[in-house]
Amino acid sequence: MRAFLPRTLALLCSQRPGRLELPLARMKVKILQWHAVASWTWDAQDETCGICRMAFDGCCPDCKFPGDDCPLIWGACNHAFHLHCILKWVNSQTSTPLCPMCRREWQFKG
Amino acid sequence: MARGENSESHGSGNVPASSPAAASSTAKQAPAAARGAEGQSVVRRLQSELMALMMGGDPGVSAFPEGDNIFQWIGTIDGSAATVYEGTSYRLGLAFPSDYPYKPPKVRFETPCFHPNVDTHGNICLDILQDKWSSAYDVRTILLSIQSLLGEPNNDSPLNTQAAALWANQEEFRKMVEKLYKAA
Amino acid sequence: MQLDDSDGALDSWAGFCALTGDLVGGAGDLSVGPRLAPAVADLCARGLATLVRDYFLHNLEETFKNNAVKTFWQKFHPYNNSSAVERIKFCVQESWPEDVLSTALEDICLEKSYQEKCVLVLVHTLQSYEEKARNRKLQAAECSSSLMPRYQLMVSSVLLTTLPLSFPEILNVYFKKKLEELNTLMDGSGDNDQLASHEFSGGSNVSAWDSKMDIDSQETVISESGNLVKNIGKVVRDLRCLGFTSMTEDSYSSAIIWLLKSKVHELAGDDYRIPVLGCVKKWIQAVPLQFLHALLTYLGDSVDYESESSGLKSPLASRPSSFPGIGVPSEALLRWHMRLEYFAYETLQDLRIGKLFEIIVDYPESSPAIEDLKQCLEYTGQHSKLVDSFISSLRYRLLTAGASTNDILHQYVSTIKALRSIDPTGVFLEAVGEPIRDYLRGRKDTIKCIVTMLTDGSGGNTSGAGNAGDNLLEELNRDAENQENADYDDHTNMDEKQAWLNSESWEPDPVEADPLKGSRNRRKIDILGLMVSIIGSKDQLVNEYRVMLAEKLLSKSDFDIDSDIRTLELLKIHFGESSMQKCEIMLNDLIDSKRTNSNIKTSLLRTIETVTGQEEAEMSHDVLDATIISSNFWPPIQTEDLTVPASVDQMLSDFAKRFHQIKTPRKLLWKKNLGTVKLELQFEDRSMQFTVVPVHAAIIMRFQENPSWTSKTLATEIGIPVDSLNRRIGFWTSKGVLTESVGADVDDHIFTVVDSMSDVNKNSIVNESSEAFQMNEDEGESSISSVEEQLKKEMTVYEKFIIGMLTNFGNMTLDKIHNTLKMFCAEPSYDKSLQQLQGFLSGLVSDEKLEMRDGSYLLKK
Repeated sequence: MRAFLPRTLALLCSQRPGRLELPLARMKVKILQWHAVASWTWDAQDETCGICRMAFDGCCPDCKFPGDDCPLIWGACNHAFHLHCILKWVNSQTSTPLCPMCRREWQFKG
Repeated sequence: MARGENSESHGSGNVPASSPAAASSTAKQAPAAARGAEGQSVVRRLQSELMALMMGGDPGVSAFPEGDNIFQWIGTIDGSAATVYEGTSYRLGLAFPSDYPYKPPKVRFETPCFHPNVDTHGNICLDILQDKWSSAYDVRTILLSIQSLLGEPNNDSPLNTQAAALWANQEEFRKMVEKLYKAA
Repeated sequence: MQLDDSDGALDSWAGFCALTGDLVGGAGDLSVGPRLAPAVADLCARGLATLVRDYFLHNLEETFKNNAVKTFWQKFHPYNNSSAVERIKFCVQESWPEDVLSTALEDICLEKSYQEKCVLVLVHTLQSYEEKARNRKLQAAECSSSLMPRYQLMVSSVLLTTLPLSFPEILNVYFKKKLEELNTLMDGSGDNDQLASHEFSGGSNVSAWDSKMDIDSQETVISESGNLVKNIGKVVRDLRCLGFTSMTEDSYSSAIIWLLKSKVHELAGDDYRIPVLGCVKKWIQAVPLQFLHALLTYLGDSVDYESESSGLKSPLASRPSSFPGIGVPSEALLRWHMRLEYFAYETLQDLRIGKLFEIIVDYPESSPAIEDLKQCLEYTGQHSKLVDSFISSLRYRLLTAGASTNDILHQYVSTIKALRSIDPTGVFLEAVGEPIRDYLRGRKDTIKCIVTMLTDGSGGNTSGAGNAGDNLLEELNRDAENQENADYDDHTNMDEKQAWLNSESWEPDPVEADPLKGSRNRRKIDILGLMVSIIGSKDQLVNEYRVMLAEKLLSKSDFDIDSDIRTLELLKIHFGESSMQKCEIMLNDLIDSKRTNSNIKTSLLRTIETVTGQEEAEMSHDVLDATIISSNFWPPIQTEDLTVPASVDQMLSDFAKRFHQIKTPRKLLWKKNLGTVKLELQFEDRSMQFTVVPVHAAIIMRFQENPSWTSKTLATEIGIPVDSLNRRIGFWTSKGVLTESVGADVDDHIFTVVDSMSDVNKNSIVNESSEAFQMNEDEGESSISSVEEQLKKEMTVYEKFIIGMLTNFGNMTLDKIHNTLKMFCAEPSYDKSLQQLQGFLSGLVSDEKLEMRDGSYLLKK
């Protein structure tokens, strides 16, 4: 009974006012599969990582695959870097690490 | 001249980038040290910088790897208009360490340059090549910084005291710039 | 007893002359012989022995010439006096020239043997005189021993000086006819041997001799043909007797060769799937060698040869082999065997070379013919014949405007495969391949065809062997593995080949190549390397592959990429991992997409279940799949705006929202014009299924709301330009789903749904209730930027690099610019030739961007 309900509802819902001139348009299109294409993006303000110069949507020079394998990280100052790049930078600094872009003290954004 | 090589005699914010000997030895060692995975990523970064530099086309600054070594570049800076350096064009040498961009490149003038922050060996005193280095800098920003340094010297901690003293007299300064430039 | 009486001498001479006349002219009456003795003895005693001999011989000669020889040649007059056409009529007669020849020979030999008896009479007479003279220790000229040789010489010289020109021809015809007869006889009785020899595929001479033949049946054949050979033998013996020894040998030799040639042609034919060399060799032993053996035995020659040669044995005679039915062959026979086999090899070789083009078209079915040819060439060493002939047939038949690039490539690959087995060093392959490569370089679609052939399941394998659906790359890899296995058996061979390959296709290892893996992988280049050498660089090939892969992946409606992964792995082996990095990421995107899709869908369905009964989406999220790409690693993709129906848009944004939730902070950007849509059009009386691109779906979905649209309104609704709409909507009109009519505005067409069967029949376009449509079929345009467009982009990059380096270095030579670009231009990597660069630089010079001074380029100030 419950499983039946959604389908009827669906039929009812599809009969919206704009389509009530049904006798004219008897053709219905049933989508069996819609295979779409999309690209993903980190949606950072910049195109490229300030440290390695590689695209954010690419990967750092040490990685083979972009995306999950080579994530981005934002600092408290809102500057983004490849995680691997900023870690290297932080580790290479002898004194308090600063953000390579704005020279504010580097802190990972919580 | 001696002062130029002795970095201890200067404040930390105003030291020569490197001695000539250090620069050349680094250049030779860099590729060898760079064969590992680390080296590959430096090569990639330098390649992408080169590409950006070539495609960007900033007027008055340019650079290109020298010979077959991507760790050693030759740079060219044109003196900016409305400065005493207008009409000059200086060649620079850039040597990148194997941990670039986490460490700055060694940069020096190859063309003799009469400037308060440039010594007779071409060593440059510029904070971003020293303790103010950031891996966000690149060849382009370095060259543009040096280009603007030409017109706006830091006379507080000069490598060339004569130049620093003469800076106030722009006409005389211009003559010295031209004299040294034409001698080259 | 002193004889000084000259009258006595004259008497003796007169007596001798008269008796000689009786003897030589007499009809077989040798009784005058004893009476000759006193006169001869008297004349000899007078020192006239040579006169006696010469007169006697002269007398024989005159008689022989005027009687026997004249009659002999007269028998051949009818033929000799005929025109060429009439001669053919003679040859057609079954008994010609056998009857004439054997009777004529019989007659003349009868005459000759009578004369020989006469000679012997005189010889004996002289001998008995010489004996007496020796006993009395008198001096006497030795004439007896030279008499017979002189006579034989006389006979042959008389015959040869009167020889009609056509006599050798007659002999030829005779031997040809007899040998054919013999051949038919052997063939008829040797059917089982023929069958056996089909199984026998070549091999060494020794094994041919050792092969099991039914000796008994051979012997029956010999006894059946015994009479035939005996008759021939008789003719040969008669001819030899008359001094025609070498002419006769020439005749039967050329007849044998002729027969062999026609046998080779008959056996070889136009069927390349059967090895024929073995049959030919068998036949050589079964027919001509048996004949020669019988003939030589009949003539008593073979025995002579054997005893003669026993002293100084040639390496041939010492061979411990025997012919079936012959036993240990004589040296003469061995020589014949060698000679005939060589001729057979050469004939077959020429025949196969002449048809090499067809043979290669049929490869690998024709590999038996190739194997035959290989053996022939090994024997004759005439490889250059093959090269010259094949190149000219290539130019004539393949490298023409009419041949498709695919055909040429397939023939090229078959050529490589076929010639590789003939000539493992590859030298000839190189010579033959160059014109094909040159030609292909001039064709625009070559790269595309090569890539398709390499990677497409159906493309590489039309020529046969291997599993269906395999691409050329798979085949090459299998080949390489097989070769590596075979390597253990055949080291020298492989080394030679390897040496050639190395020198031919050497290029520096890519920087990132693993030096430990290098040499092993390089081995596998082989055919692929030769294919790449057509294109010029592997980068171009890899780039083309990437573009094609992108097109293929983006038009998929599932995530099944197993075959593409396999292909990529093979390409990695050949081109190095880093070259294929981007392609690997592309494939990885599909794997990731599959996983992400199922995560998102599960979570979406769960959400919907919780809100069941409140707001039901028009479409289940089940129908949505998304390929999510890392666009940085894909070839540039042209995106077009497209407004999809609200229901679909809702679905897409739900999906994107969920993606953002799962992968924060990553976001999805829809490329709405890309992808595939499977849909069903439902009418009252029928339904139709289609697989289309999104824009087609967006168009047809609008016709649910309204059965008629003008193109302008519809274009606005869908968010595409009108001309684009008009082009795209053609798909639905061509399927009979929509009809087009011109409205009030001529530019604004009206499209209406054809919504009943009767209307469809009026259009009579679609009659299928369900139809699958391969997308992009009628698109003509691709959403991926073509390689050519990318090439244009490349040139801009090179220009900037050249200007950059000249800014810093002042001036540079062509070489230096070339090398510097090679060194530092990484993306796109620089792969032009020095000539191409020079052309490009000249362009920059004429654009006044550069100038050229003292062989160096510098910036134009």
